[in-house]
Amino acid sequence: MMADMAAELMAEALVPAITLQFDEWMRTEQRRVFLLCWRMLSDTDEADTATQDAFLKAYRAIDKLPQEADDRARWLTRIAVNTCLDRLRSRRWQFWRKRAEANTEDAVMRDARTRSPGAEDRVFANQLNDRLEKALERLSPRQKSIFLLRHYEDRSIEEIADMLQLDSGSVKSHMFRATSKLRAELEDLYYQRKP
Amino acid sequence: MNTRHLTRTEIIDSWYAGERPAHLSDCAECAASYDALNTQHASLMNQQPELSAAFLAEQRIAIERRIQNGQPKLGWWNRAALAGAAAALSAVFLLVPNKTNSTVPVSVTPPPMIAEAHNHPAMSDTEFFAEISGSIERAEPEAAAPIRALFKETQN
Repeated sequence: MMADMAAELMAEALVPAITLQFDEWMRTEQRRVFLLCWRMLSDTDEADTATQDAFLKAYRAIDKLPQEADDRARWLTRIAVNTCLDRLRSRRWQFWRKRAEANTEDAVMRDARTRSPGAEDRVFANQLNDRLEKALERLSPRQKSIFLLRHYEDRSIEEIADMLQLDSGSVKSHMFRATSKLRAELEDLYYQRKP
Repeated sequence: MNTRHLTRTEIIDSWYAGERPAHLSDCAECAASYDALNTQHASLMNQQPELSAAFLAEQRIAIERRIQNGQPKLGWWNRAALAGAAAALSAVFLLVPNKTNSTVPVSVTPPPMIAEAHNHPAMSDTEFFAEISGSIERAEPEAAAPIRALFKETQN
């Protein structure tokens, strides 16, 4: 509790150096951006760095910040996704890269899976989340980002196309391949639970 | 009119592709399945993981510091690479003798072959290779000479 308060106070003390509006905007978008990065990179430390990078890039390009809240969110999402895609590409040669310790991740991510009502549902939700995470790792970075933007960010195909500088047809085709792969990966779970 | 019901896979694919198939306007059953996906998705989105306030505050501090300093954040692999490079440099400094700080003057005597080459700058390639092959064919390595000298001393 004291640590939270101290961190808050420190964060506030630094605010005058940057604009208050940027800080407020960052507070509203931070959680969403971090979760998007975390899902794309499957690593807390990397997602933390990517989130910081995304906000830093946004701050440096603040004169391009759109006026409309929706446009601003889309603009920031595009920055975050591109930052993650760059990190995923650079991962190819990081053969020594390792995943953060599960304990560390748990400390950061308070898992909402426990919100499921029944024990059986809870077990299934955990199983599904783990399997989904692994299946997502097998998608290409492009497919993964498209699927995540559609599934978790609820973005339309047109918005995704705009964010990733692709045409709608390519987004649909990537999406179709992504869902087909995920379906194949999660087939046993899917059919096991299907009513 | 197409009376065939859409499969669940087709409905899911259409949903992810952001399309509402024309069949849905004629088929209440498929339309209900499609709309149920929206509800199901919305309930899934309500189950997003929570992040601790301390973590978010720390992250904001880091971002604000980086904005102030204009410094890029180094990932753990960059930090590891930098630490490795620093360790390698330190090792080089420790292992290579520092001539300027040395109190005892060190005379560097080049190995005989190099010294000889310096004394005979006009040595031809043939001579040079003959020298090398002679050195290779020697029964005893040159490095053994000091040991032999020690041995001789103890004998005397």
